[in-house]
Amino acid sequence: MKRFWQCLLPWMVLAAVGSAQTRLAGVHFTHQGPLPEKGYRVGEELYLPLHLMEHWGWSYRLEGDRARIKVGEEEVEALVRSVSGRQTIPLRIVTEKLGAITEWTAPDTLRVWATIRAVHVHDDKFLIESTLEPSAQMSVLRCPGRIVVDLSGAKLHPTALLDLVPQARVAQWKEDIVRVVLETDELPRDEMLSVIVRGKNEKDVPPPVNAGGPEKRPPPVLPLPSVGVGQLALERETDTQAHLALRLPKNPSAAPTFRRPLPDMLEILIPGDRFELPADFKLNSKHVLQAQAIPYNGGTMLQLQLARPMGAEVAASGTGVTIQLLRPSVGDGRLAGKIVVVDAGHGGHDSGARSPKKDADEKTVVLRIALALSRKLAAEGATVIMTRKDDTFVELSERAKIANRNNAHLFLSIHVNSNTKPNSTSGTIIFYHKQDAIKQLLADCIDKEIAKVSGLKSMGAWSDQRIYNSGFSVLRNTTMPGVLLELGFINHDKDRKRMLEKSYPDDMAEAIVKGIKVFLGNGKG
Amino acid sequence: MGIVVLLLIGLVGVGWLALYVRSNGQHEKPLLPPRERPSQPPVEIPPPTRETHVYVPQVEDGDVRFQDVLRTVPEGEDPKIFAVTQFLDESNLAPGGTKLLSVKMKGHTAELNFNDTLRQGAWGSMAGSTLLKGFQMSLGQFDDVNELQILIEGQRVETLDGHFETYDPLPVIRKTP
Repeated sequence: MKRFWQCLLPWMVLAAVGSAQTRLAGVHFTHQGPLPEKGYRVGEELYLPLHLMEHWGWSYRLEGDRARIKVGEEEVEALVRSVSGRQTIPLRIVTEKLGAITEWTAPDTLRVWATIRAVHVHDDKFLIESTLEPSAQMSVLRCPGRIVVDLSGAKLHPTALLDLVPQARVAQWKEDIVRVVLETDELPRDEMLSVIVRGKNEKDVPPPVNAGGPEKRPPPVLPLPSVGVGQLALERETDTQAHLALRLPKNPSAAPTFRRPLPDMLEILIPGDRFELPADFKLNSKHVLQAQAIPYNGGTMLQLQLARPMGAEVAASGTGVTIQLLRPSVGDGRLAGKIVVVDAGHGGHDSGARSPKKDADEKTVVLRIALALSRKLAAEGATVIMTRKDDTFVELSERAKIANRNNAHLFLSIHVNSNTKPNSTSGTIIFYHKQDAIKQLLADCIDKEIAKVSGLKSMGAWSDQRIYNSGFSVLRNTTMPGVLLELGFINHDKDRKRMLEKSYPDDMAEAIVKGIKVFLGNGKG
Repeated sequence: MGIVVLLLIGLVGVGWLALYVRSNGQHEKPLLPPRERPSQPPVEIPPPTRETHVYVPQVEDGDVRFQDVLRTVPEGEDPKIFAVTQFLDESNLAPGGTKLLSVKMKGHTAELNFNDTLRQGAWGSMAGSTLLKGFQMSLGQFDDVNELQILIEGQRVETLDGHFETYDPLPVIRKTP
């Protein structure tokens, strides 16, 4: 009897160990995320019940003790094994045959990543070669302009072929996102991006190399985007705002942006998706007089004619684009009676920017403009408060405090610019703070008037984040609509000549007042 | 008498021995001619090179971008001081005579202490933001620095350029892919 137990004991131990080594385990598959059901972990392998492959669109057929698994154009073979009474395939073996990367993560989850094996970026076109299919998302960043392609659920292979123009770069941005960045001012379009899924064993990944470097492979021709019908609806409207929702046949390939060609016109640029509005489209809104969809750069531009200038916030939503229109709260249509703080930059020991020949300094030029502006505003019936009226120094923080303390309706900070390289940049810029829609509207309105009379190039209305992340102190710390005006580059000969002309302060002052009136609603741009 | 003779003999013997040793030392010749060494260049072990990123501003279409160039830190020089000083030299942003006196670490904050000449700088908003971003990027390459504090002769300053505050520490800018 004792001998019987002695013989049985090793088998019992083996059975216990074997049973302990088979346990339920999850699968997190590329960008598609976790599988709803679990497989079985045996050692370092995950055995996946056959039917679960359908979640990823894989098909299979059984041939004896083997399964032939079809993944897109690829086919791989695997031994079928019965685990806990179910027919399974070894998932790590199968996915690694397909060229994927796998790794066990706690708690008992097998991560499967697509492998990026080659990235080609040329002529504003991205060609990505991957095993399995990552999710590719294009977006646009500003300051400086960049197109970003995020490949989710993917890992960059250590020996991936990177065939890039100098403005492009590739990196494993997050654990499961490979990011390709191209510095360009282009807007992203569908036809810019192609993702090719190739098997591990195909030999056509590296493009042929000739004496002139890697051959530029033209991206495959994609079908033209179809023209669908978008639905623009007014979701709610009050006297001071309107909320519009644009539902699209297909989600935009990147974040929408907008521009304001005229103070009362908005153009919303929706990349990568062409659509039309229904033929009988009509929007019953007191703020939006007309809307039309115009083909633009492979995508669509939604043009809105407004009853008056309004601030705008545009964002992608799950089903399309939302547009928020905001009327300035100071917009009762009258400049008379408004309190306006005019801030002449620098002063005293702080000369501000200086011309290279030291024949002009910022503090003097901007004081002349600020004094002219104060006179014009006062003539319109506004109450004007100047942060300085002569060549005295005012602390930076005090300038915003003056405006806040006096409950000003508007804040205008007058400056002239300079950069690191004389004569490299010419023009005017009107800065607003971060993404503030009302301040942006004020900047746009003033910019358009200044462009008419300055004789200098208008560089447009810029968010102050474009040059410094936290933005300008005076714009960040003031509570009312305000802008910082850079009225030319003092280190550019042409600009300096113009800003030293006798008429310049009055021309600028008049344009600024006109712009304010357009913003307030009692002037036509 | 016998003792005297013995002493004389001893002295003569010692003298003779001394002369013998001396003459042998003078005329000693090497047994073999000196072997010529094979002509090999002297092997010098270079000191470990330390490189640092220097961010040089470039104006492109009105925007300022920073070109990242690698420079070798001279021996004995603090890489942080070198990175900031090179940025100032190559950007021409600081008035002539500006000197970074020291960089001291307080926790993860680097205190940049400049001489008084920096106060004489004249910057527009673009140049001012470029100056600050240059400091933030130059120090962002060092893992032990999270923030920087600008000092002039040991004192904090409200602003350098009249646009952006510098009284409190500024976060560094780390280069992202």
